[in-house]
Amino acid sequence: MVTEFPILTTERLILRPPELRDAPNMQSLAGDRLVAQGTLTMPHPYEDGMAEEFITHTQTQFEEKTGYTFAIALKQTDELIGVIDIGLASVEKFQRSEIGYWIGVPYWNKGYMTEAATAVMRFGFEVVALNRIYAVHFTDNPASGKVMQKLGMTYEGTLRQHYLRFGAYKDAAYYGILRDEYMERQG
Amino acid sequence: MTETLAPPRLTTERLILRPPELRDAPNIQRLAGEYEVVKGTLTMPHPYEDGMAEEFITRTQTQFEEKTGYPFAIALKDTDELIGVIGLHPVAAYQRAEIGYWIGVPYWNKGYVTESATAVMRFGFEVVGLNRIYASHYTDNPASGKVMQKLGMTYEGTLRQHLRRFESYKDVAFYGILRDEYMERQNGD
Repeated sequence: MVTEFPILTTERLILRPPELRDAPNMQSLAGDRLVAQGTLTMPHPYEDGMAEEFITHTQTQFEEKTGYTFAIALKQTDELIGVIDIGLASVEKFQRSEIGYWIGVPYWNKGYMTEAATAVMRFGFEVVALNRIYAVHFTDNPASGKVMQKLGMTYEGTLRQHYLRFGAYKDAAYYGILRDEYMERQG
Repeated sequence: MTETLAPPRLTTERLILRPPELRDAPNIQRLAGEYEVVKGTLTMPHPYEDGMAEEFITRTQTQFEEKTGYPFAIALKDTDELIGVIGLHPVAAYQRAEIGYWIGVPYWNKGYVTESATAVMRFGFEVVGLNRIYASHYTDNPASGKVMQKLGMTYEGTLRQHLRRFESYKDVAFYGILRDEYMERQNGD
């Protein structure tokens, strides 16, 4: 059991608990409509105080063991460039978790998301000991699906018009990877 | 706003769909007690002990009052006896709902589930005003998927080992139908 918030490091990134000092970065990056429209629940516009509220909420999540939400920070400067989370609500019953993420527009197409998600996936299988990890993206945001493919996840299907976001129905594509598949990839 | 809508009652050729009542408890316990029924569901307890049916029935009344679901007893029109249960579970924020159902083993393969699910689907689109209705089944229970196909739902995918039931991981197949598709089917009939 994890009692301290885990800190994961990758080649270029550090994944650590979000802190109140991250609020300005979070507000400016998450405030971009291009980021918000790829997520299910992020508020838009992203108003003053929302980042602080979110950061406090992630601390509660950790304490109540409903999920881990990591700040994705550049290793060199420790500045937040995005957020990634792995839910824990269905671990006990089903041994599975969903990974969700967003990254600021200036940091797109640099492999940061795949780098962060790879570390979180490893954490999920090796530390949380999950049997399945899955992720979902709106089909009008295929870049998010590319990350899932790079993680070695398998496309499992698309639930049509399953969500409603900013007044438009969204098809949701599901990708998943099982423990056995992950282990095999590790060799 | 204080709406006091009565729980809906739907009738089909051979069935009446009505709120479950405490008098249904013996039938629920007997039919839902069968492992063949239970293993196709996500949360039904097994063994199905005394008092559980009454608890379930009370919970369905709360569901309706809190608008978290529309639960129906599936009853034979001739005798009004319960032979299964079907529910529509809406998520208002997305204008969609999931349909879930079970029916007692003696009533399998007679088209009763398709008959009741057709009525509930109509209720969902025409009365509740949903945009999407979906259903899911374990892939080791293909009979349930057959019902979804007969409803005109489209297979959308299978989430592998997504659920766990009686100690084994279950692949879950999803089927869905959109409002437009439903309307087109009505016009085609």
